[in-house]
Amino acid sequence: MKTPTLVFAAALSFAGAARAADLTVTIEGVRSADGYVMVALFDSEDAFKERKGEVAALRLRAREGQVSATLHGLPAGTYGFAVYHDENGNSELDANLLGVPTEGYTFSNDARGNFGPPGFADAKFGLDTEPLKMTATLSY
Amino acid sequence: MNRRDFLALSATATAMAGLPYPLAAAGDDWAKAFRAALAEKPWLLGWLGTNEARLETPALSVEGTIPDALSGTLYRNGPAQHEVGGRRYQHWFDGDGMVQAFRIGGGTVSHLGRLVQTAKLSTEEKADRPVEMTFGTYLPDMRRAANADALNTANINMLHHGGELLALWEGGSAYRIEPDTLDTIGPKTWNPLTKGLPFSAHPRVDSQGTLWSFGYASSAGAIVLYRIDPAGTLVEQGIVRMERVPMVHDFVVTERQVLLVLPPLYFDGSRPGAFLDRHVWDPDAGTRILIFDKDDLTKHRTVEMPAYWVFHFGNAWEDKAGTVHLDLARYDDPSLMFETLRWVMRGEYRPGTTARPYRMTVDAAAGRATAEAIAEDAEAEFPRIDERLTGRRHRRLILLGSDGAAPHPLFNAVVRVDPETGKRSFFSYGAHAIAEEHVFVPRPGGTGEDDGWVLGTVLDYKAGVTRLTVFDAARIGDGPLAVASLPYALPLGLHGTFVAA
Repeated sequence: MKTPTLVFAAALSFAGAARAADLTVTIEGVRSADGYVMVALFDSEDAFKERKGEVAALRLRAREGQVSATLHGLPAGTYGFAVYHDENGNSELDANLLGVPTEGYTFSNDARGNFGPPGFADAKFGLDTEPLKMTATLSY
Repeated sequence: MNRRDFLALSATATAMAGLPYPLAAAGDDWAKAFRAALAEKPWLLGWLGTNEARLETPALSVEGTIPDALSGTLYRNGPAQHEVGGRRYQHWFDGDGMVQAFRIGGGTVSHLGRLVQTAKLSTEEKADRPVEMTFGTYLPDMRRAANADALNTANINMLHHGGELLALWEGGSAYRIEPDTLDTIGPKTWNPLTKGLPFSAHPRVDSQGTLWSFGYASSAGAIVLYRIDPAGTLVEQGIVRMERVPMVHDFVVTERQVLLVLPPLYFDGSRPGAFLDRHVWDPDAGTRILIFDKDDLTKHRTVEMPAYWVFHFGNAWEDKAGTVHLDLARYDDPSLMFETLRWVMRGEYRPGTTARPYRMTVDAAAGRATAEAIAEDAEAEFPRIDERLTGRRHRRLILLGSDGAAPHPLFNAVVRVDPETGKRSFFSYGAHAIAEEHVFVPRPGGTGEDDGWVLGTVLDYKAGVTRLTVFDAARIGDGPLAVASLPYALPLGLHGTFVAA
């Protein structure tokens, strides 16, 4: 598989942290090549819950099947990520009038909530000094 | 032919023919318990289910005469696939939906039944096991409900509106079905704002041809209202926010109003288990009636009543004084759903409260509602009317009833009652029958609630077959004019609609 085009990435490298590692995120189940797969990485429960203050954000050109990218030199810590497929390219997770997403989405650990989004406890994972590969599958 | 004897006559010809489900299938504890019980209680055949994706019979054997003028398709829906990978669901309402099409014309009947190809079904076909939690089952390796449509089995009712045929669930999207082949087209999106929102299994078309529907969004804390024009375009959606959302299966419209009747069966997302088990019956909260003017869905009045449970309404209409008259099948509590319709899947008969037909009177101006039994001590459910009268005064209700001789928890008779006088006509299918919903079909060009036919299906579990029956609507008590028999038993279904040719 070709490496997908990395259109936009914030804070891709954290060189200089005392303990650092690479995180490779692979998103599977991408149903079309329309738009972008958006990944936001959080390092705290509050940030994950609010979907604000991400430590990294990836905007990957969609391709049917899977897309993948690596974040280099992340500080050791506890993380969780949220993903959506911005199929219409409007840079928003579209939702219906009750706020339920109408585009594909997933979370680290493929975490699922009960009739709603999952909590950080289900989505979190630890990153130490070894490179880590995480895979999650989109639900539409 | 003596119409009262038709079941016995047919039984000899078709005994236990063509069971659509392998009895010896390996299974889990519930599957094994069910099969053991089936040997003792043949009526459990109705809940056996099927793993066949397609059931087809080009020409049913017909006794009696189907009227030439009766031409069209009876579409029915119901939970049908009760086991996935040998593992059995633990509630009747869980099974994957199967659409049944009985095509009637020229005195003949054909049948086609196909499972609705929901997203859930596709996921589970690949996995060969139940993956998604359902309405009433949450096995340890099932995944949580990411959203309402993840659980969607499209298994309750059928709607034909604006040229589209829809298979209806109530917790998520309706599914579009191709009317001839019964191919599943996909989830119905009315507009982007309502994509994926719940759409009820009991929408109502009023005298203007406007389709009204609602959906209860338990975890979102809201009920959605839909106004859809005769061409099938959503022209308005309303939202009623509420702290606790009850389970709401049906509603009514009058010429001027929309009424949501909210029994106190409230969703509590903090409870464990399947969707049903996350509900609490809170009779102290009473049953509330929300009344909306059709031309302003943003506000409503509320009338409170002592608690009762209801699945189904017949119809509602408003008199000159503004009082609403509303017919329903009323239960004291929802124990039938929590007990009877769960444990029947294990082959056990645990009685719950039964439904009786009531006429409710709602005086919104005075904030008062009362209810009175239509026919004393008559158990009855699945009320239907001549739908040309939706929202207007009706004088006939068609229901399922019981003659008291059946050993099973459902019905074995069809009842036609005048809700104002209580005058009834009644036909029993006998001790070995489970009757399914019966619908009124107007005679082409006919007028009035007596000018037409009553169509329904009935499982003859002694013969092991499902039959379609046709009555003269004015002469239910005489028994069916015609009986068309399938060579197999269909899983017991829920609701349907007749689409004239």
